[in-house]
Amino acid sequence: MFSKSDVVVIGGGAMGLSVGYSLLRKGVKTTILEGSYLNSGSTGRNMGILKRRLGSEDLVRLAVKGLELHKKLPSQLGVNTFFRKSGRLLVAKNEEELQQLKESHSFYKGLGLKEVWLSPEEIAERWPYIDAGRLVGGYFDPEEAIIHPFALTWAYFESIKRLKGMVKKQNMVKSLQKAAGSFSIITESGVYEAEKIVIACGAHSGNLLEQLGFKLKMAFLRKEALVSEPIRPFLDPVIERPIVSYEVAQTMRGEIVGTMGFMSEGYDLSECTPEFLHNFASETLQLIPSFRYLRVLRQWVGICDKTIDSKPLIGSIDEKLYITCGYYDYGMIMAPVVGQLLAEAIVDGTCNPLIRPFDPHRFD
Amino acid sequence: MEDWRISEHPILKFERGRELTIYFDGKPLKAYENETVAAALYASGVRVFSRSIKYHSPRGFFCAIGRCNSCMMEVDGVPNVKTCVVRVGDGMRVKLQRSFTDKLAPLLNRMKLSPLTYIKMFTRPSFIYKPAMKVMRQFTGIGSLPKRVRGEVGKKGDEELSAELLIVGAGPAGLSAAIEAGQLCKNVILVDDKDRLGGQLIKQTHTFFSDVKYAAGKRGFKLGEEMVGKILKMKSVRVFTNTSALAYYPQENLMLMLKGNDTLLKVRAKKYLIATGAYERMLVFENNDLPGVYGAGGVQTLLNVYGIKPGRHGLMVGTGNVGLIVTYHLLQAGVNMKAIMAPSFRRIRGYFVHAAKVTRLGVPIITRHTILKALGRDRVEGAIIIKIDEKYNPIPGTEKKIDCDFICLGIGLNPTYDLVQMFKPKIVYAPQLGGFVPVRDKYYRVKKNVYISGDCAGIEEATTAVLEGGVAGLHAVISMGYEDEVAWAKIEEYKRALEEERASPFSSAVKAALKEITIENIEDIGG
Amino acid sequence: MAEEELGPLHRGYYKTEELKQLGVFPPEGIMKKNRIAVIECMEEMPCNPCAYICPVKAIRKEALCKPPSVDWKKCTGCTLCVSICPGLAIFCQQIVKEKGYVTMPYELLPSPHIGERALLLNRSGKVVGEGKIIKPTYKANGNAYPLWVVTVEVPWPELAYEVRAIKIIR
Repeated sequence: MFSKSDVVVIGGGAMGLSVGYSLLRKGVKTTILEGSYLNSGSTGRNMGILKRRLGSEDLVRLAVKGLELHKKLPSQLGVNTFFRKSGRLLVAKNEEELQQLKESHSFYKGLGLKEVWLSPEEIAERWPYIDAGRLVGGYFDPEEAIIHPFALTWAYFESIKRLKGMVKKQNMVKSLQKAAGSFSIITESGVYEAEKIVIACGAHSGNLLEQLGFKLKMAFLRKEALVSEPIRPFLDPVIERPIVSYEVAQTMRGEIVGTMGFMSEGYDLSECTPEFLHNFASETLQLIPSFRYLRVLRQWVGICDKTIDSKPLIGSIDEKLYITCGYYDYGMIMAPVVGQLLAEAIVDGTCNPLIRPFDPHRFD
Repeated sequence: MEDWRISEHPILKFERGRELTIYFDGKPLKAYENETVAAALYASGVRVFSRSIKYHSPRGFFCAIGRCNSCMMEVDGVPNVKTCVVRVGDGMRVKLQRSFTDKLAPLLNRMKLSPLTYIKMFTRPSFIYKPAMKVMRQFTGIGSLPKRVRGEVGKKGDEELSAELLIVGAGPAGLSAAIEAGQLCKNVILVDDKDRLGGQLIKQTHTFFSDVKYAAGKRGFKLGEEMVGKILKMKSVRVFTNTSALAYYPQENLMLMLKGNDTLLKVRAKKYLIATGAYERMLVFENNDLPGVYGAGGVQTLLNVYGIKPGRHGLMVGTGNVGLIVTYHLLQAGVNMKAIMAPSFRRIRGYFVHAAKVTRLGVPIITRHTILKALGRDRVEGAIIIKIDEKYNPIPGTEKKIDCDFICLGIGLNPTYDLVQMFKPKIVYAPQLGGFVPVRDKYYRVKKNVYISGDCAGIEEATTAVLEGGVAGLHAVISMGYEDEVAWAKIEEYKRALEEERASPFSSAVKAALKEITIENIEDIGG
Repeated sequence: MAEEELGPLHRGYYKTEELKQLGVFPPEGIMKKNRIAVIECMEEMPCNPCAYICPVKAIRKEALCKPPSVDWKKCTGCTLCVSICPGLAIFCQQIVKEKGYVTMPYELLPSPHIGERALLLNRSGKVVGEGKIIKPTYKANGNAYPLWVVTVEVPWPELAYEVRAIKIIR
């Protein structure tokens, strides 16, 4: 089957769907190609935690805008993304950890994040199920939020359908060529032609770009996560312990999701480990003893793709060829805002100051 | 309060054990020592065991062996406990979960209101989203965790074990494999997630067919007792009950298992044999989730293991051997069966003699019909059945009402492939064998060091499970170096017996399917 | 329900004439002499306890999956086959003077007592008369749980071809 669009977006994750949606809003004939099933990639494998504490000013500014858009998204799309303003509690178990948190706290405060310091007693009072006796304190940001990544996918998918856009699943791209002013994309089930293409397929972006002669310097880190049975509302804030990359939260559906640490470098999605299960359980039971009665349903592996400076690549990599990838472990908060700004760049030719620092050519 | 327990039975003696008291939502109920929580509740007339996650619909039990999750309740403060596998204890406190929706549930049900799954509700206008979600969140999740947990939470105990052969599943296949393997090698571990060994054998009160050499003429539970008796005397076989396999990690050759409630077993074995059996299928029809719709196996367990009647007047769906036999069990227990019904078009699916046993006791068999809907608000009160044509389409105008207080579904089994899958074999879909099964070689290997046997390899009979377990168990030990002429001869004998068992026309579809998925040597496909 | 259209493999029972045509019953002369085994098992399925237990080798099976056949001349009517058939598909019949006798397997409650009266049911579950429980009626041994072998006297000889189940009147 043969199809011609103004723009083809390769990658049906949150990022690809968001760019596709924004393009369709601007009246651009867009097709989104997803190589497997929806939520099969990093979008379906993360916790849905929206993070603004991202280490550098430019990332934080983009993320702040990202959270604003997430808040409006359910009403804008008319579909629930299970957005919940949960707040985020960062905890420290010893003075050394606390010192690190203190230092970053002033940095983020300067950028406008409203974190407050809480003593162990205050933590115990607010959330009696947390065993605060093992903590030396923490920082609580009441504005942080969590969504459900599946719901975000469905929300975009429904909206794209309404705008008469196409999302083609099970359409793995076999070859990508540029010829005479347009791009030719051959997938498992058809040939697509487009004037412009956007590559938004996370860890696989590099492979596709190589076919067009571009080399990306990326590292891939595997991260494990798990989910529990759904229980009645129990855990309000997202709880994080940065020094061991530990996060735990409860989704709107009642499931407890969690992640911890980074596994090895690698590109494949296989090999969950019993160590992760053990370490996560150990950390969690010290933090929230009630969870000893919670049953884990599944554990899996996701891939965090990382550039040299740990910041994403957003923008035009060549004439009519755009890229958005390299979101490491904070892609979810970025999807709506980058989708919007990148669509503007593609259609209007502008480059919003929020995404300018992430120019794909900054390493040249 | 009515007691649904059976006092007299033609075949079984129910040794109930000591009488105890349990509390259900605060009310004291009579229970007996060896009963599960679900059985004790059922015997006292409890029919609604949980409420569904989406519409808060009332749910009863279905499978009675811990697979379907319909019976989950809060027990002594712990949420989501599968009451059909947990034994009662004196003074146990059992609570219905989500009971706060009991008053609202009929309304939620009727309106089919489920805001978190109808994903467009309450998103516009924007100012109602946040407060609406705050309310809706209160309706999510099943089971409440206790907010305060006292005492030191540490490692209760991890046990690290190693074995030459680990057998998961102690039904006829696993028991047979253990008996054979244990005679030759020294270190076999046999585990089962139930509290007693025997798998489905423990509730088979009818006599088996097949060859007298193996099982014919014996009642299933007797065969089970004999095999278990042999195993318990074997020093080379260590047995763990109440132990479920959680996961297998291939890169570390580690099988993680949960013993009881609080001990983690980490087992590393040279060879694995998976004999995890099968689970019941569900049928799609209106109101199929009402309390009172039960799996035939679940009813068999309730009846023959715990001695409790499922109801007074039943309708059996399914004319296979399971449907016919369970109807017979129900008649033996004094339950009135209205009919056995199934859309079977060409003939009754099971053996004719099983059908003849029940027709002469007055139970009509109705083929070429299917069930349209179950009647009743919060439990089954009847059913509507309808005739079908040769394309399996219902023929309008042929509806018939059947008064019954339970509907039994005996419509087939699916192999339990969850654990096998973790060893990453090649899995194919074989409908004649019940569903997803792994490709295997002639010695039942799905990987070089991994064997399967019994229903999880393809739905057949207990007797074929015994024979397959024998082949796999023997080959597993032979391949470890315990080679023995007698062992090879036994393997050939078992294989010959399997061929004989499958010589009847009832097995022709199974035979054809097995031929397609059995290869010469599993190592040829990278096993 | 037009049951007549659908054959025995749909109804789950045979009519006596159908069985007569299949040669299941011995000649009447033999039935008048002694009790004789009648095997109502025609399908091919793996099973052989009947052939195994017959003390005079009157029951023959060509292979594990082939249906059994009875050598009427050898059968002594000992009823052992009635007690062991897993399908409860073997019966014994006898005709003496004006009465018929049927020996059948029984696995229900209440337990049968000799001298009691019972309702007589045919293959489709219809009550066709009333009869008396007589000898031989015994609990089968082996495997330690009751499978009764029950003999009933039926009011007239033709019923011996029909009666295949009882409901004890108590």
